[in-house]
Amino acid sequence: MKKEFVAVQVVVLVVFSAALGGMIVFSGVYDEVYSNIVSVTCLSCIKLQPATNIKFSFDTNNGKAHPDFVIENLSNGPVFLAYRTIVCDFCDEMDPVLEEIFEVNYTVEDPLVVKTKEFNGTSVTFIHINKDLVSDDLKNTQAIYANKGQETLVPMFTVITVNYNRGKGKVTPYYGTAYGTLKKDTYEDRKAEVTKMIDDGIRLYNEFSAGYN
Amino acid sequence: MNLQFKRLIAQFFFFFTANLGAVGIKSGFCFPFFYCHACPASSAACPLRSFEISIYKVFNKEEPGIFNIKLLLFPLLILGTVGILSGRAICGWACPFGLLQRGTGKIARKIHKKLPILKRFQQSKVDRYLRYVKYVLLIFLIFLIPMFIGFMFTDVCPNGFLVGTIPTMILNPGGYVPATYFYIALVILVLFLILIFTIERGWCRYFCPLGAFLAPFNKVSMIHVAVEEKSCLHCNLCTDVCPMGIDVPNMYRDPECIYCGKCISACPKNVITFKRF
Repeated sequence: MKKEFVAVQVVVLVVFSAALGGMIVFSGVYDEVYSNIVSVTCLSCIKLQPATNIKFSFDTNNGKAHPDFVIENLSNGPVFLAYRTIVCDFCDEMDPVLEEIFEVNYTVEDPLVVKTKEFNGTSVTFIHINKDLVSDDLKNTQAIYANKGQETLVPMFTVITVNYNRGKGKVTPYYGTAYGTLKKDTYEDRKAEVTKMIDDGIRLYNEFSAGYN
Repeated sequence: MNLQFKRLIAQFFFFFTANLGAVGIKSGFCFPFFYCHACPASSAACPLRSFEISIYKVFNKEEPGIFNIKLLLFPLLILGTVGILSGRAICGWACPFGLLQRGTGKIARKIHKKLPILKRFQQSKVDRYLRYVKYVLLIFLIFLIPMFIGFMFTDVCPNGFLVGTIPTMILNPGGYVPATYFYIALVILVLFLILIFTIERGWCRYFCPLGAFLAPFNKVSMIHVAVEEKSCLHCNLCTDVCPMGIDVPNMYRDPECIYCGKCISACPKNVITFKRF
Protein backbone atom coordinates (compact mmCIF):
# COMPACT_ATOMS: atom_id res chain seq x y z
CA MET A 1 0.00 0.00 0.00
CA LYS A 2 2.80 2.37 0.98
CA LYS A 3 4.70 1.62 -2.24
CA GLU A 4 1.58 2.29 -4.30
CA PHE A 5 1.06 5.58 -2.50
CA VAL A 6 4.63 6.65 -3.21
CA ALA A 7 4.24 5.64 -6.84
CA VAL A 8 1.11 7.78 -7.13
CA GLN A 9 2.93 10.74 -5.53
CA VAL A 10 5.85 10.40 -7.93
CA VAL A 11 3.61 10.04 -10.97
CA VAL A 12 1.55 13.09 -9.99
CA LEU A 13 4.71 15.11 -9.39
CA VAL A 14 6.19 14.09 -12.75
CA VAL A 15 2.96 14.90 -14.58
CA PHE A 16 2.56 18.29 -12.86
CA SER A 17 6.17 19.37 -13.29
CA ALA A 18 6.38 18.12 -16.89
CA ALA A 19 3.16 19.94 -17.77
CA LEU A 20 4.45 23.08 -16.04
CA GLY A 21 7.80 22.91 -17.84
CA GLY A 22 6.06 22.29 -21.14
CA MET A 23 3.76 25.24 -20.61
CA ILE A 24 6.63 27.57 -19.80
CA VAL A 25 8.67 26.48 -22.83
CA PHE A 26 5.98 26.08 -25.48
CA SER A 27 2.84 28.05 -24.61
CA GLY A 28 4.14 31.57 -24.09
CA VAL A 29 2.31 31.74 -20.75
CA TYR A 30 5.39 33.09 -18.99
CA ASP A 31 5.43 36.15 -21.26
CA GLU A 32 1.67 36.48 -20.98
CA VAL A 33 1.75 36.55 -17.17
CA TYR A 34 4.64 38.99 -17.28
CA SER A 35 3.03 41.41 -19.71
CA ASN A 36 -0.60 41.05 -18.57
CA ILE A 37 -0.20 40.88 -14.80
CA VAL A 38 3.30 41.64 -13.52
CA SER A 39 4.06 44.63 -15.72
CA VAL A 40 0.54 46.08 -15.60
CA THR A 41 -0.36 48.16 -12.59
CA CYS A 42 -3.87 47.12 -11.92
CA LEU A 43 -5.71 50.15 -10.55
CA SER A 44 -8.41 47.96 -9.07
CA CYS A 45 -5.74 45.92 -7.23
CA ILE A 46 -4.25 49.04 -5.68
CA LYS A 47 -7.71 50.56 -5.18
CA LEU A 48 -6.38 53.92 -6.35
CA GLN A 49 -6.34 56.10 -9.39
CA PRO A 50 -3.99 58.91 -10.40
CA ALA A 51 -4.81 62.24 -8.83
CA THR A 52 -3.52 64.26 -11.76
CA ASN A 53 -5.88 65.92 -14.18
CA ILE A 54 -4.99 65.85 -17.84
CA LYS A 55 -1.41 66.98 -18.38
CA PHE A 56 -0.27 68.30 -21.78
CA SER A 57 3.28 68.04 -23.09
CA PHE A 58 5.38 68.32 -26.24
CA ASP A 59 8.00 65.82 -25.12
CA THR A 60 7.14 62.16 -25.16
CA ASN A 61 7.44 60.41 -21.81
CA ASN A 62 10.20 57.98 -22.79
CA GLY A 63 11.86 60.22 -25.38
CA LYS A 64 10.78 57.98 -28.27
CA ALA A 65 9.29 59.42 -31.48
CA HIS A 66 5.53 59.49 -31.99
CA PRO A 67 4.44 56.24 -33.67
CA ASP A 68 3.77 56.30 -37.41
CA PHE A 69 0.07 55.53 -37.06
CA VAL A 70 -0.37 58.61 -34.89
CA ILE A 71 1.60 60.89 -37.22
CA GLU A 72 -0.35 59.64 -40.25
CA ASN A 73 -3.72 60.28 -38.61
CA LEU A 74 -2.61 63.59 -37.14
CA SER A 75 -2.48 65.11 -40.61
CA ASN A 76 -6.30 64.73 -40.72
CA GLY A 77 -7.07 65.94 -37.21
CA PRO A 78 -6.48 65.16 -33.52
CA VAL A 79 -6.01 61.56 -32.46
CA PHE A 80 -7.63 60.05 -29.36
CA LEU A 81 -5.94 56.94 -27.97
CA ALA A 82 -7.49 54.64 -25.36
CA TYR A 83 -5.60 51.76 -23.75
CA ARG A 84 -7.19 48.95 -21.79
CA THR A 85 -6.57 45.35 -20.72
CA ILE A 86 -9.10 42.51 -20.80
CA VAL A 87 -9.70 42.46 -17.07
CA CYS A 88 -10.05 46.08 -16.00
CA ASP A 89 -12.88 47.47 -13.94
CA PHE A 90 -12.35 51.10 -14.86
CA CYS A 91 -11.99 50.19 -18.54
CA ASP A 92 -15.38 48.50 -18.39
CA GLU A 93 -16.80 51.68 -16.86
CA MET A 94 -15.19 54.00 -19.39
CA ASP A 95 -15.81 52.07 -22.61
CA PRO A 96 -19.54 52.91 -22.84
CA VAL A 97 -18.60 56.61 -22.54
CA LEU A 98 -16.15 56.30 -25.44
CA GLU A 99 -18.59 54.23 -27.48
CA GLU A 100 -21.22 56.94 -27.16
CA ILE A 101 -18.92 59.86 -27.88
CA PHE A 102 -17.31 58.25 -30.94
CA GLU A 103 -20.47 56.38 -32.04
CA VAL A 104 -18.68 53.07 -32.21
CA ASN A 105 -19.37 49.60 -30.83
CA TYR A 106 -16.72 47.17 -29.70
CA THR A 107 -16.20 44.38 -27.21
CA VAL A 108 -13.40 43.27 -24.93
CA GLU A 109 -12.40 40.73 -27.63
CA ASP A 110 -11.49 43.46 -30.15
CA PRO A 111 -7.72 44.02 -30.14
CA LEU A 112 -7.79 47.28 -32.07
CA VAL A 113 -10.64 49.62 -32.96
CA VAL A 114 -10.17 52.61 -35.25
CA LYS A 115 -12.94 55.10 -36.00
CA THR A 116 -12.87 58.60 -37.39
CA LYS A 117 -15.63 60.98 -36.37
CA GLU A 118 -16.32 64.60 -37.27
CA PHE A 119 -16.74 67.05 -34.41
CA ASN A 120 -18.01 70.41 -35.81
CA GLY A 121 -16.09 69.90 -39.04
CA THR A 122 -12.88 68.55 -37.49
CA SER A 123 -12.04 64.87 -37.85
CA VAL A 124 -10.91 63.07 -34.72
CA THR A 125 -9.43 59.58 -35.05
CA PHE A 126 -10.33 57.27 -32.18
CA ILE A 127 -7.91 54.37 -31.64
CA HIS A 128 -8.81 51.86 -28.95
CA ILE A 129 -6.04 49.42 -28.04
CA ASN A 130 -6.58 46.29 -25.95
CA LYS A 131 -3.07 45.73 -24.62
CA ASP A 132 -3.64 42.05 -23.96
CA LEU A 133 -4.46 41.31 -27.58
CA VAL A 134 -2.14 43.46 -29.70
CA SER A 135 1.52 43.20 -30.74
CA ASP A 136 4.28 44.38 -28.43
CA ASP A 137 5.01 47.31 -30.77
CA LEU A 138 1.51 48.64 -30.40
CA LYS A 139 1.36 47.80 -26.69
CA ASN A 140 4.59 49.72 -26.06
CA THR A 141 3.19 52.93 -27.52
CA GLN A 142 1.49 53.46 -24.17
CA ALA A 143 4.83 54.29 -22.56
CA ILE A 144 5.34 57.08 -25.13
CA TYR A 145 2.26 58.99 -23.96
CA ALA A 146 2.09 57.96 -20.30
CA ASN A 147 2.78 60.34 -17.44
CA LYS A 148 6.06 59.73 -15.62
CA GLY A 149 5.88 56.68 -13.40
CA GLN A 150 2.45 55.71 -14.71
CA GLU A 151 3.51 53.82 -17.83
CA THR A 152 1.60 50.68 -16.97
CA LEU A 153 -1.71 52.04 -15.69
CA VAL A 154 -4.94 51.25 -17.47
CA PRO A 155 -7.28 52.63 -18.65
CA MET A 156 -5.26 55.45 -20.17
CA PHE A 157 -6.59 58.11 -22.52
CA THR A 158 -4.47 60.40 -24.65
CA VAL A 159 -5.48 63.16 -27.00
CA ILE A 160 -2.79 64.10 -29.52
CA THR A 161 -3.08 67.42 -31.27
CA VAL A 162 -0.66 70.14 -32.44
CA ASN A 163 0.58 73.33 -30.81
CA TYR A 164 3.27 75.93 -31.27
CA ASN A 165 6.44 74.65 -29.64
CA ARG A 166 8.48 77.69 -28.53
CA GLY A 167 11.53 75.55 -27.82
CA LYS A 168 11.63 74.34 -31.42
CA GLY A 169 10.14 77.46 -32.98
CA LYS A 170 7.55 75.45 -34.94
CA VAL A 171 4.25 73.62 -34.60
CA THR A 172 4.73 70.07 -33.31
CA PRO A 173 2.56 67.29 -31.88
CA TYR A 174 1.23 68.06 -28.42
CA TYR A 175 -0.52 65.53 -26.24
CA GLY A 176 -2.42 65.23 -22.98
CA THR A 177 -3.00 62.08 -20.94
CA ALA A 178 -5.52 61.09 -18.29
CA TYR A 179 -6.28 57.87 -16.44
CA GLY A 180 -8.92 55.74 -14.80
CA THR A 181 -12.38 57.24 -14.53
CA LEU A 182 -10.86 60.73 -14.73
CA LYS A 183 -11.70 61.13 -11.04
CA LYS A 184 -15.39 61.39 -11.93
CA ASP A 185 -18.06 59.28 -10.30
CA THR A 186 -20.94 59.48 -12.76
CA TYR A 187 -21.34 58.52 -16.38
CA GLU A 188 -22.32 62.06 -17.37
CA ASP A 189 -19.34 63.66 -15.60
CA ARG A 190 -16.96 61.19 -17.25
CA LYS A 191 -18.51 61.92 -20.62
CA ALA A 192 -18.12 65.66 -20.02
CA GLU A 193 -14.47 65.19 -19.08
CA VAL A 194 -13.64 63.11 -22.17
CA THR A 195 -15.54 65.60 -24.34
CA LYS A 196 -13.49 68.42 -22.81
CA MET A 197 -10.27 66.54 -23.66
CA ILE A 198 -11.44 66.21 -27.26
CA ASP A 199 -12.58 69.84 -27.45
CA ASP A 200 -9.20 71.05 -26.16
CA GLY A 201 -7.50 68.94 -28.84
CA ILE A 202 -9.77 70.28 -31.56
CA ARG A 203 -9.36 73.92 -30.45
CA LEU A 204 -5.56 73.67 -30.56
CA TYR A 205 -5.63 71.74 -33.82
CA ASN A 206 -7.81 74.34 -35.53
CA GLU A 207 -5.58 77.14 -34.25
CA PHE A 208 -2.20 75.69 -35.18
CA SER A 209 -2.65 72.98 -37.82
CA ALA A 210 -2.00 75.44 -40.65
CA GLY A 211 1.62 75.63 -39.50
CA TYR A 212 1.96 71.85 -39.03
CA ASN A 213 3.55 69.71 -41.71
CA MET B 1 21.01 25.13 13.66
CA ASN B 2 17.65 25.38 15.41
CA LEU B 3 14.73 24.39 13.16
CA GLN B 4 12.80 27.60 13.89
CA PHE B 5 15.83 29.72 13.05
CA LYS B 6 16.17 27.86 9.75
CA ARG B 7 12.51 28.58 9.08
CA LEU B 8 13.02 32.26 9.86
CA ILE B 9 15.89 32.40 7.38
CA ALA B 10 13.74 30.68 4.75
CA GLN B 11 10.88 33.13 5.37
CA PHE B 12 13.17 36.15 4.99
CA PHE B 13 14.75 34.60 1.89
CA PHE B 14 11.35 34.21 0.23
CA PHE B 15 10.28 37.67 1.39
CA PHE B 16 13.29 39.23 -0.32
CA THR B 17 12.80 37.02 -3.40
CA ALA B 18 9.19 38.17 -3.64
CA ASN B 19 10.40 41.78 -3.59
CA LEU B 20 13.22 41.56 -6.13
CA GLY B 21 11.21 43.95 -8.31
CA ALA B 22 12.72 46.68 -6.13
CA VAL B 23 16.02 46.07 -7.91
CA GLY B 24 14.38 45.66 -11.30
CA ILE B 25 14.05 41.86 -11.32
CA LYS B 26 10.54 40.88 -12.35
CA SER B 27 9.43 37.55 -13.77
CA GLY B 28 6.46 35.95 -15.49
CA PHE B 29 5.95 33.35 -12.75
CA CYS B 30 3.13 33.21 -10.25
CA PHE B 31 3.99 33.19 -6.56
CA PRO B 32 3.15 29.86 -4.93
CA PHE B 33 2.06 31.89 -1.89
CA PHE B 34 -0.11 34.86 -0.97
CA TYR B 35 1.59 37.99 -2.28
CA CYS B 36 0.42 40.80 -4.53
CA HIS B 37 1.85 41.76 -7.93
CA ALA B 38 0.53 45.30 -7.32
CA CYS B 39 3.30 45.77 -4.75
CA PRO B 40 5.77 48.17 -6.42
CA ALA B 41 8.62 45.77 -5.52
CA SER B 42 6.87 42.53 -6.44
CA SER B 43 8.82 40.11 -8.63
CA ALA B 44 5.98 37.86 -9.87
CA ALA B 45 2.21 37.59 -10.19
CA CYS B 46 -0.44 36.69 -7.66
CA PRO B 47 -1.82 33.24 -8.56
CA LEU B 48 -5.29 34.33 -7.49
CA ARG B 49 -5.22 37.20 -9.97
CA SER B 50 -4.21 34.80 -12.71
CA PHE B 51 -7.14 32.52 -11.82
CA GLU B 52 -9.53 35.46 -11.81
CA ILE B 53 -8.33 36.83 -15.14
CA SER B 54 -8.54 33.42 -16.79
CA ILE B 55 -12.26 33.07 -16.14
CA TYR B 56 -13.30 36.71 -15.76
CA LYS B 57 -16.93 37.20 -16.82
CA VAL B 58 -16.93 34.11 -19.07
CA PHE B 59 -20.52 33.41 -18.02
CA ASN B 60 -21.60 37.04 -17.83
CA LYS B 61 -24.47 37.53 -20.27
CA GLU B 62 -24.15 41.30 -20.66
CA GLU B 63 -20.41 41.62 -21.24
CA PRO B 64 -18.95 38.14 -21.82
CA GLY B 65 -15.23 37.85 -21.15
CA ILE B 66 -12.60 35.60 -22.71
CA PHE B 67 -11.68 32.24 -21.18
CA ASN B 68 -7.88 31.94 -21.00
CA ILE B 69 -6.95 28.35 -20.21
CA LYS B 70 -3.22 29.15 -19.99
CA LEU B 71 -3.70 31.64 -17.17
CA LEU B 72 -5.86 29.07 -15.39
CA LEU B 73 -3.48 26.12 -15.76
CA PHE B 74 -0.23 27.96 -15.06
CA PRO B 75 -0.86 28.87 -11.38
CA LEU B 76 -2.72 25.59 -10.96
CA LEU B 77 0.36 23.61 -12.01
CA ILE B 78 2.74 25.78 -9.96
CA LEU B 79 0.62 25.34 -6.85
CA GLY B 80 0.03 21.68 -7.66
CA THR B 81 3.73 20.94 -8.00
CA VAL B 82 4.54 22.77 -4.80
CA GLY B 83 1.57 21.12 -3.09
CA ILE B 84 2.49 17.56 -4.02
CA LEU B 85 6.09 18.17 -2.94
CA SER B 86 5.45 19.86 0.36
CA GLY B 87 1.74 20.44 1.01
CA ARG B 88 1.17 23.61 3.01
CA ALA B 89 4.83 23.93 3.98
CA ILE B 90 4.85 26.97 1.71
CA CYS B 91 2.52 28.70 4.23
CA GLY B 92 4.88 28.04 7.11
CA TRP B 93 8.21 28.45 5.38
CA ALA B 94 7.81 30.87 2.47
CA CYS B 95 4.68 33.04 2.58
CA PRO B 96 5.47 36.68 3.48
CA PHE B 97 2.05 36.91 5.13
CA GLY B 98 3.06 33.90 7.19
CA LEU B 99 6.15 35.82 8.24
CA LEU B 100 3.97 38.77 9.24
CA GLN B 101 1.71 36.49 11.27
CA ARG B 102 4.71 34.84 12.87
CA GLY B 103 5.45 38.27 14.32
CA THR B 104 1.88 39.06 15.33
CA GLY B 105 1.35 35.54 16.70
CA LYS B 106 3.42 36.31 19.78
CA ILE B 107 1.25 39.33 20.52
CA ALA B 108 -1.87 37.22 19.96
CA ARG B 109 -0.63 34.71 22.54
CA LYS B 110 -0.09 37.52 25.08
CA ILE B 111 -3.59 38.82 24.40
CA HIS B 112 -4.97 35.31 24.97
CA LYS B 113 -3.52 35.33 28.47
CA LYS B 114 -5.42 38.53 29.24
CA LEU B 115 -8.56 37.52 27.36
CA PRO B 116 -9.09 33.77 27.93
CA ILE B 117 -12.34 33.97 25.97
CA LEU B 118 -10.23 34.07 22.81
CA LYS B 119 -8.53 30.84 23.76
CA ARG B 120 -11.88 29.24 24.52
CA PHE B 121 -13.14 30.47 21.14
CA GLN B 122 -10.30 28.62 19.43
CA GLN B 123 -11.25 25.43 21.21
CA SER B 124 -14.93 25.78 20.33
CA LYS B 125 -16.93 24.34 17.45
CA VAL B 126 -17.18 27.83 15.89
CA ASP B 127 -13.45 27.72 15.24
CA ARG B 128 -13.80 24.39 13.47
CA TYR B 129 -16.63 25.66 11.27
CA LEU B 130 -14.89 28.96 10.55
CA ARG B 131 -12.01 27.03 9.04
CA TYR B 132 -14.29 26.12 6.13
CA VAL B 133 -14.73 29.82 5.24
CA LYS B 134 -11.46 29.81 3.31
CA TYR B 135 -12.79 27.08 1.00
CA VAL B 136 -15.97 29.07 0.44
CA LEU B 137 -13.88 32.15 -0.37
CA LEU B 138 -11.77 30.15 -2.81
CA ILE B 139 -14.75 28.69 -4.65
CA PHE B 140 -17.03 31.74 -4.64
CA LEU B 141 -14.81 34.83 -4.55
CA ILE B 142 -11.96 33.52 -6.68
CA PHE B 143 -13.89 31.45 -9.21
CA LEU B 144 -17.68 31.71 -9.31
CA ILE B 145 -18.24 35.42 -8.69
CA PRO B 146 -15.60 36.64 -11.18
CA MET B 147 -16.96 34.10 -13.66
CA PHE B 148 -20.57 35.25 -13.47
CA ILE B 149 -20.52 38.80 -12.12
CA GLY B 150 -17.05 40.25 -12.57
CA PHE B 151 -16.32 41.42 -9.04
CA MET B 152 -13.02 39.99 -7.84
CA PHE B 153 -11.41 39.10 -4.53
CA THR B 154 -8.29 41.05 -5.56
CA ASP B 155 -10.43 44.22 -5.64
CA VAL B 156 -10.78 44.09 -1.85
CA CYS B 157 -7.83 41.88 -0.89
CA PRO B 158 -6.08 42.98 2.33
CA ASN B 159 -2.78 41.82 0.87
CA GLY B 160 -3.19 44.19 -2.09
CA PHE B 161 -3.97 47.05 0.28
CA LEU B 162 -1.05 46.35 2.60
CA VAL B 163 1.69 45.77 0.03
CA GLY B 164 0.17 47.52 -3.01
CA THR B 165 -1.98 50.48 -2.01
CA ILE B 166 -0.05 51.74 1.01
CA PRO B 167 3.44 51.59 -0.59
CA THR B 168 2.08 53.21 -3.78
CA MET B 169 0.64 56.08 -1.72
CA ILE B 170 3.89 56.46 0.24
CA LEU B 171 6.06 56.40 -2.89
CA ASN B 172 3.80 58.88 -4.73
CA PRO B 173 2.58 61.36 -2.11
CA GLY B 174 -0.51 63.08 -3.45
CA GLY B 175 -0.18 61.20 -6.72
CA TYR B 176 -3.22 59.00 -6.29
CA VAL B 177 -6.77 59.29 -5.00
CA PRO B 178 -8.98 56.51 -3.57
CA ALA B 179 -10.86 54.47 -6.14
CA THR B 180 -14.09 52.49 -5.97
CA TYR B 181 -13.20 49.77 -3.45
CA PHE B 182 -10.63 51.74 -1.43
CA TYR B 183 -12.67 52.19 1.72
CA ILE B 184 -14.13 48.67 1.65
CA ALA B 185 -10.60 47.29 1.29
CA LEU B 186 -9.41 49.57 4.09
CA VAL B 187 -12.09 48.19 6.43
CA ILE B 188 -11.11 44.65 5.43
CA LEU B 189 -7.46 45.45 6.12
CA VAL B 190 -8.32 46.78 9.59
CA LEU B 191 -10.34 43.62 10.30
CA PHE B 192 -7.45 41.55 8.97
CA LEU B 193 -5.02 43.30 11.34
CA ILE B 194 -7.36 42.85 14.30
CA LEU B 195 -7.67 39.17 13.38
CA ILE B 196 -3.96 38.43 13.15
CA PHE B 197 -3.22 40.34 16.36
CA THR B 198 -5.86 38.42 18.30
CA ILE B 199 -5.76 34.94 16.79
CA GLU B 200 -2.47 33.35 15.91
CA ARG B 201 -2.36 32.67 12.17
CA GLY B 202 -5.98 33.85 12.01
CA TRP B 203 -5.78 34.61 8.30
CA CYS B 204 -4.24 31.21 7.45
CA ARG B 205 -6.78 29.39 9.61
CA TYR B 206 -9.98 30.95 8.40
CA PHE B 207 -9.66 33.06 5.27
CA CYS B 208 -6.61 32.46 3.08
CA PRO B 209 -7.88 31.18 -0.31
CA LEU B 210 -4.41 29.95 -1.22
CA GLY B 211 -4.19 28.03 2.03
CA ALA B 212 -7.52 26.48 1.06
CA PHE B 213 -6.09 25.51 -2.31
CA LEU B 214 -2.98 23.92 -0.80
CA ALA B 215 -4.68 22.27 2.20
CA PRO B 216 -5.92 19.12 0.40
CA PHE B 217 -2.37 18.51 -0.83
CA ASN B 218 -1.35 17.78 2.77
CA LYS B 219 -3.14 14.43 2.31
CA VAL B 220 -0.82 13.40 -0.52
CA SER B 221 2.32 15.53 -0.11
CA MET B 222 5.74 13.93 -0.19
CA ILE B 223 6.61 15.26 3.24
CA HIS B 224 4.40 15.37 6.27
CA VAL B 225 4.57 15.69 10.05
CA ALA B 226 4.37 12.32 11.74
CA VAL B 227 3.77 11.48 15.40
CA GLU B 228 5.03 8.21 16.84
CA GLU B 229 1.93 7.51 18.87
CA LYS B 230 3.31 4.64 20.94
CA SER B 231 6.07 6.79 22.44
CA CYS B 232 3.92 9.92 22.86
CA LEU B 233 3.50 11.10 26.47
CA HIS B 234 0.41 13.14 25.58
CA CYS B 235 1.90 16.10 27.41
CA ASN B 236 0.23 18.32 24.79
CA LEU B 237 3.17 20.71 24.59
CA CYS B 238 2.99 20.29 20.81
CA THR B 239 -0.68 21.26 20.72
CA ASP B 240 0.01 24.28 22.94
CA VAL B 241 2.64 25.67 20.58
CA CYS B 242 0.84 24.84 17.34
CA PRO B 243 0.01 28.19 15.65
CA MET B 244 -2.79 26.55 13.69
CA GLY B 245 -4.47 25.14 16.78
CA ILE B 246 -4.18 21.49 15.72
CA ASP B 247 -4.53 18.59 18.13
CA VAL B 248 -1.06 17.37 17.15
CA PRO B 249 -0.85 13.93 18.87
CA ASN B 250 -4.02 12.86 17.11
CA MET B 251 -3.35 14.32 13.71
CA TYR B 252 -2.42 12.50 10.54
CA ARG B 253 -1.76 14.60 7.43
CA ASP B 254 -4.01 17.35 8.80
CA PRO B 255 -5.02 19.85 6.05
CA GLU B 256 -4.47 22.69 8.53
CA CYS B 257 -0.82 21.80 9.21
CA ILE B 258 1.62 24.35 7.79
CA TYR B 259 4.71 22.23 8.57
CA CYS B 260 6.19 25.00 10.70
CA GLY B 261 7.82 22.37 12.91
CA LYS B 262 7.02 24.13 16.19
CA CYS B 263 5.60 20.85 17.51
CA ILE B 264 8.81 19.08 16.50
CA SER B 265 10.91 21.64 18.40
CA ALA B 266 8.61 21.45 21.45
CA CYS B 267 8.39 17.67 21.80
CA PRO B 268 10.41 16.52 24.83
CA LYS B 269 10.55 12.92 23.58
CA ASN B 270 11.37 13.75 19.96
CA VAL B 271 8.53 11.59 18.74
CA ILE B 272 7.32 14.19 16.21
CA THR B 273 9.30 14.36 12.97
CA PHE B 274 9.12 15.40 9.35
CA LYS B 275 8.63 12.23 7.32
CA ARG B 276 9.20 11.66 3.62
CA PHE B 277 6.43 9.95 1.61
